[in-house]
Formats: sequence, C-alpha cells, structure tokens
Amino acid sequence: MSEQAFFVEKEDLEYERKGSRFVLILTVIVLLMNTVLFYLFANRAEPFVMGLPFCIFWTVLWICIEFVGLVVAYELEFKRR
Amino acid sequence: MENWLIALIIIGLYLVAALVIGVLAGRKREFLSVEEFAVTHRSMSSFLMWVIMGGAVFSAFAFLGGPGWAFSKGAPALYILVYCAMGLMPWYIIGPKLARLGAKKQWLCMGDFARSRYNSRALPVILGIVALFAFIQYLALQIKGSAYIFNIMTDGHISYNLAAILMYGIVIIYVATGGLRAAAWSDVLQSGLMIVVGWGLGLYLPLKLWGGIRPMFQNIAAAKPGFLQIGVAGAQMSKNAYSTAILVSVLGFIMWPHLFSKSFVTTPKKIRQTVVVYPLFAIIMLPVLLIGFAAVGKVDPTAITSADQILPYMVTHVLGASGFLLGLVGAGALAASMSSADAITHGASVEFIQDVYRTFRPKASEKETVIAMRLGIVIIGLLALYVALIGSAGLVALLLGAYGSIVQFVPLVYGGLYWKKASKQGAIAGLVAGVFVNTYLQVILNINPLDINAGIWGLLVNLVIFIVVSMIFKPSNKADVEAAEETITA
Repeated sequence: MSEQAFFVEKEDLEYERKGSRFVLILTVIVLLMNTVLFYLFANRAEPFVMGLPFCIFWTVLWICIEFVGLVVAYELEFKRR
Repeated sequence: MENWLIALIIIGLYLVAALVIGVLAGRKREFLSVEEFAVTHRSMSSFLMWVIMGGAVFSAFAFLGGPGWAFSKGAPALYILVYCAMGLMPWYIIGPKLARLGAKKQWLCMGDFARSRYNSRALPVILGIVALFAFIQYLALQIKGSAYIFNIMTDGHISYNLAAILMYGIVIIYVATGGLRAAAWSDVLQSGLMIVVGWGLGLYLPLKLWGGIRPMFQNIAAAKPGFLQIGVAGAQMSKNAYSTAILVSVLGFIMWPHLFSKSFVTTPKKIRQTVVVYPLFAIIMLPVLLIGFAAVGKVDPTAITSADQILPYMVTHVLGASGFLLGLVGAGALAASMSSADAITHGASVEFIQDVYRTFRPKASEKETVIAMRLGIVIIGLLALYVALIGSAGLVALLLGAYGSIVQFVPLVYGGLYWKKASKQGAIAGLVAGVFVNTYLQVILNINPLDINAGIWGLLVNLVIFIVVSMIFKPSNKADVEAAEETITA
C-alpha cells in the first residue's frame, strides 16, 4: 500500500472534520428517530405501508434515510477534495 | 436417498468450499509477516471490508436470534435492524483518524492504540484480558448455535459435539493458515449463502403460511394487541430497555476489538466507503425477522425450548419434505456463525498476543510474534470449543460479564482520541469500575435498574471516574503529554 493513501493535506483534514460533524449530527437524528420519536410517532401497527406495520416501515424508512445521508456526506467530502 | 443424507452432503459441500477458499486466500502470502497476517498490509479492498464487517454482524445471533426475537418479542426485534444499521456510524468519525495513526505507528489492534496513546503497559494487558473473555463467550455462542442447527438438519445423525468440532475446526484451520485474508474471502461465500437463505425463507414462509406479508401482520395485530408495539400493555419490552439496548449497541459495536482493529487494515477513504454502504446490511436482515413473525400464531411457544430454535423448527416442520432445502438452510446458518467466528478468532489471537504476550516479551521477533498469533488461533479455538461443549457455571458467569463489558472501552477510546487531559490512571480506573458495575448488575444481581441496560449504568460510573481521575492525575511527564498530543492532532 502506498503511503499516499494515508497522507493528507491540512485542507483535506478540514473536509474530513466537516464530514465527521455531518455524520455525528446524522447519527443523533437517526438515534432519536428510532427511540424517543419512535414512541411518539411510530409505536403502532396501523396504518400498514407496503404490507408492513407502521413501526417496521418507520424503522426501515429511517435506515434508508441514514443510508442517503451517509452517501451525501461522503460525496460532499470527496468531491471537494 | 434419505433427506438427512442429502442435507449432510450439501452442508459438507459448503464446508469443503469454505475451507478451500479460506486456505487458498492465504497461499503465496508471506507466512512470517505480522503485517500480512494481522492487517493484510493495510491494503484491503472496500468490497472485502464490507463483506468482513457485514459477516461479523450477520452472526448466529442475527440468524437464529433475529427470528427468535420476532417470534417471542415482536416489535422489539426491530432493535436488531437498528443496531445493524447504526453500529458502524461512529466509525465514520473515528476510523480515518485511527487508520492514519495506525499506519504511522504500525498499530495492529486496539491494545496498540491504548499502549501508545496512554503510554501505559498495564492498560493493554487489562484490555486484552477483558477482550479475551468476551471473545471466548462470543465464540461459544456461535459454536452452540451452529452445532444445534447442524444436528437438527441432519436429523441427529451428526451429533452436536461432532458438528461443533467439524464446523469450528475448519474455521481454525483456515484462519491459522491464511490470517485475516482467509477470513475475508471465506466471508464472501458465507455472506452470499446467508442472503440467499435469509431472503428465500423470509419471503416464502409468510406467503405459504399466511398468503402474504400484509395478511400475516394484520393477523398478528388483531390476535395479539401490543405485540407490534414497545412499552405498552401487551408489549414485550419497555421503552427504556429498548432505547438503552440500542444505545449500548451503537456505542459499543465498534468497541469490539476485532472490529476496532479493522481501522488498521485499509485506508481512511475505504473505511468511509464501508460505513456508507453498511446500512444496506440492515435491509438485508429484514426478511430474516419475517421468518419469526410468520411463526406467530402458527407455532405453539411451548413446542420449542427456547425462542432461538424457531428457525430450525419452522424449516423442519414446514419445509421438512426436502433434504435439499434442509441442507441449504443448514449451510446458511453455519455460514452465519462461521463468518463471525473467523473474524473473532483472528481478532482474539492478534489482540491477546499484542496486548498481553508482547507486553511480557517486548523483545519478541516478528517471526516469534506471527507464530504465536497462529498458535493463538488454535489455542483460543480449543478454549472456545471447551466452553461451548463442556463449560461450567462459574466460567460462564465470568465470560458473560466480560461480554457485556465491551462498551466500557468507550471513554478511553473517545477520551484518548479527543481529550488531551485523558490519562492512563483515569482510563484504567474508569475501565475497571465500569466492568465491575456492569458485571455485578448483569451477572451477579441479574437486574437492569429502571429497565436501563446494565452497560449504561457501568458506562456512567466509568465516565465519571475516568474524568475525575484524569483531572487529578493529568498526563504530566513529557512522554505522556507528547503521546496524547500526537494522537489528538492526527
């Protein structure tokens, strides 16, 4: 493995930190959506969405949003570099 | 041909394939290089990273426990999806930094980080011992789960003990010979098989038993009010228990030393790629939970001795006629266990040799170290087999305590990476207190006060002691201060 892949410029480090901050916020949001806000909005079987009870749909939905959020964080960081 | 024989042949074919792939992956690599054996020269591809991290979470717990939770607990089984999806998120933040430091300072494992950051010889030894106990417990769970399935799918013709020795013996052989590379390549086969079996069963069983997923859930909702909810009348888990179980998992997942040390097997960019695609593994898990939901109302809970047996029960009672399917499901379940067991056995040996053996033999040559790691695989493997097949109550309690204590590494890791004043005294005192509180609550009293996970109670005590002791005993001598600064600014 070339040393290059581990070596970073100061500027890159700044983008990396911004990416980390973005993901930290995303983590907190998804965590809240699956705990406190889950009980508030999604703690029920009805209505059914795509054949799934609402609680399962909600959980899967936030996993998908988390995935999209991570893709965005990654793209933002490495496009700038 | 009899069903059990067909099943045995299919499982046998899978085992041979796993062995061949694993052993071939390690061929023609430097046999005596620690960097190759432990961290594949820090050059692992994103695809293999994803597979090995995925294989690690998609374990016997997910494959047997997932349907078991869905069957016995209902909505709380969603915990497994959330933990799968979110477990790696903290790694996006700390992984790149660790990878850079690791490449610079040649770290191989978590203990190397602790030794280097805290300039301490005692800390990695404590960490290595807690990790070893936790790993053996984890391995014993994998062995028990898969041996049970192997035994059932071959209709008892392969005994439980023989099944455990066969399945885990193969893991020991390919990991001891091929190191991490072997574990990763065999995980490719294993992940593929798990996905096929998980989705096949998860989509077929609701259709066959209920006529579809929607009617299945409608029936459950009508028949068991509260079962598809958390913390209400009729629900099987309280809100506090559910939330804190998720919190412990999200904080603790990357604290497992075999996962933490994957920070040192590739580049910062590939670590981020791995985390980005990881939530897809949780989506892959969803049909596995449906297997358990399909059994609700169709299987009398008293027909099985523990909820974990619901998947094999469904397979033998609903699909029972086909030896081919029995074999495929057996192979899939074995794959789930083995893809976790290989990475854990590898991680356990690297961690123990680096943290404990090398602390007492600091002058060990590279050759000696790599041979010790390969032998360590065999010895740890035999210990895990002993615990799984024979065990003893006292030993099991000790291991359980360690298993629950992994999350106690959180303060020393994050403190070490981001807080200058974090000191070795603080890290050691916090860790010991956290492990003690967690083990006392979980194993000795067997309670979760206020329904809050014992790990969180341990973590609170740990964090307070870590901070207070670090404030009193700051890193004072020059070496300690430099070690701290170098880590934080990287």
